[in-house]
Amino acid sequence: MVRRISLISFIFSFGLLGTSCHTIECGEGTVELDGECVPVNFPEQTLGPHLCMPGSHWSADLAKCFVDPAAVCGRGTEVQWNDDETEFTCVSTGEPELPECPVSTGPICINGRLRYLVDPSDPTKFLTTEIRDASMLAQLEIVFYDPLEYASVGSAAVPLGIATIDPESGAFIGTDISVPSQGYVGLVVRDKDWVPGADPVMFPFTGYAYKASPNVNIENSFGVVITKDQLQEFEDALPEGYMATACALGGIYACGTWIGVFREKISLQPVSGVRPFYGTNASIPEARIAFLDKDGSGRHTVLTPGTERRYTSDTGTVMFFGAELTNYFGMCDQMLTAAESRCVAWEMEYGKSLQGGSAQKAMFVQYLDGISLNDRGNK
Amino acid sequence: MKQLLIFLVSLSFFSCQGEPFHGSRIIANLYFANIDGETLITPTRVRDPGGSGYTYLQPGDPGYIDHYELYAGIDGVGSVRLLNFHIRPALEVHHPCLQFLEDTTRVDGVGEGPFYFNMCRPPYPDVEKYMFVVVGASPSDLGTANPGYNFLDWGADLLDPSSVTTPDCATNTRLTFLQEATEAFCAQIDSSVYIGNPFQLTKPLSGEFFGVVDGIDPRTNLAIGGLSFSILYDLSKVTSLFVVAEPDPARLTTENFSLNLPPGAGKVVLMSELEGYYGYLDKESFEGVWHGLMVHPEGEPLFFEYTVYPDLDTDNAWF
Repeated sequence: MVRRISLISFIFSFGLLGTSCHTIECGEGTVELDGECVPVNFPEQTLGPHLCMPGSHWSADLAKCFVDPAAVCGRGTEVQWNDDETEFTCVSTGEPELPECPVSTGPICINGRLRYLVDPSDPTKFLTTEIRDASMLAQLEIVFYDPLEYASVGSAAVPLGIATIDPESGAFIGTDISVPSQGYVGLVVRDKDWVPGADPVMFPFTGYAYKASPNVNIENSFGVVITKDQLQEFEDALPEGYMATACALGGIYACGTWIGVFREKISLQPVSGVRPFYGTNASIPEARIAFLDKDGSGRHTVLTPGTERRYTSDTGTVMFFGAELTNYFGMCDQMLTAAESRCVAWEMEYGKSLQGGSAQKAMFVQYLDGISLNDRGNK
Repeated sequence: MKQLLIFLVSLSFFSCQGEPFHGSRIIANLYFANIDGETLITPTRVRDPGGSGYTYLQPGDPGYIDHYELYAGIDGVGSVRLLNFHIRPALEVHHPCLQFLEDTTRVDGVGEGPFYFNMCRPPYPDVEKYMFVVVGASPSDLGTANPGYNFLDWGADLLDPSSVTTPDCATNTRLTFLQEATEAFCAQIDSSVYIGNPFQLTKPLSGEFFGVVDGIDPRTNLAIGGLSFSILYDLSKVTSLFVVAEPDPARLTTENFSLNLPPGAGKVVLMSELEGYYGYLDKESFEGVWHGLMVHPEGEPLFFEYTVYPDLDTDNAWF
């Protein structure tokens, strides 16, 4: 018996020793490869940081200068490259500078400004008007959420952080925001001092999501604002009883609404003639959607039920009432001709991996950027 | 018993002489945000107008990327080319070597069979468009055994004379191949050339599979992604990891394939540094493993998040 134990110990020890012992030491400038020390590639020794232009970054391992335009051009400026894309200059955007984000070491910083979904004073402007009115800004707050968690559990979701807003410049900044494992951060606008479950006073809970990574700040972003009055106008624009059919809770806000804007990826032009799809490969039921359209004066005041028209107008915008958390994309309505539909004319294709949705008492805005297969959409 | 102990002690002393390093492992996720994933594929291809197919760029064409090279910068003195890889569609639906796979589960065949895989039926076009894999590169001078990645060119002599020349999955218009010639050709393709396996993506019919680029599996609507690389180099002195998008196929000739070439003229598309500006490499926060994030130096939304198991000999996580 003792002999057997000794034999087992011997075999075990041999195996253990054979796999845990590493004694090769390679000298400076070499690295071990499969038991041998092989040389690394030495960079050109005449190069050095002194050759990098101001603001660029020297990598000793690569013996190269790397230019990070964002690091060179400060807030309120933008990079303009020359035709050869070998040199750039920083050009002022004319905008007041955003508050500076600290260098991220894990949790991130988000700065930017707020935009109206539709400008109340000029409804022809869609997702372009920034809010600079200090009295207006004083009545709202910006909170960061995991948007996927919010879509799942609603107002029980735990905020990731809260932004501070500069009423003078209209800029906001939020710091120390931990990026959720799914890689999305939602920027939500709501009434100041809002409490979970409360009805909106001025600002219905409106979210916009960003793809995020730890250590990578999101700068010059924007959040979307919809006023309570605008929500009521949307409700009024629908045929009587339509919402009761679209969603059992009977209201745009009560149901929770996803607002999707179909665009072309490069030109960022809205795309008409898109049928909204979700999930694996299903069109969103027509009775549960409406399209945001313009009236004869170009104002975004018309909501066309999906039962009357099943594809986007030239605003590219759809509302899905009672939207669930899933993937969203679009398909060209093949009953339309190229003259009737940008989607058909530009041969648009939308990826199927974009996650979206909404939750009760929440509005969620999302861009869906597609590709023009014939390149006509990005000219 | 005493003699046995003395023997074991002696053995342990002598067994340590010259024991090589047994490698390290990188577990990673490659993901992108609002860029077109199609632009990551190598060798580079572009969609044809109308979406009927793809045109594969040729070496020297503007925008052509032949393959990717993963490098480690070591101790600020130089670099090591760790491996070469491609990002490929998980499956190419018109690939000749996928047309004569016998499909015993197919239910729409007429007669007794045998039935062959019909790569035009859903969901396989989606797998080509929306699911990308990271695979080992193959030498670029393998002659006809190297597909050159354009099935319309390299498979031309395998086509049935009556075949259409332009396939279109939207109308189930398929290329038809000569079975005997195709099977003979596919049998002699170099084993390093990637050919996907429609029945089990993780075990390709040919080539080395490192994993899947993060995305949604279009067949199941579930999130999918993850990479695993075995590295033979000792990475203990690493100070940076970076990926170069390399336009020069000559760097992958049979002669050059395994050489530790310095970075070429390609563009650095992913980078992480121990003490630098781009991304990060953290060797301290976790016992026995490192964690890092490679980012695009020009701010493109492309990321490579990784964990390094720097010494598999001392790692208690067995793979």
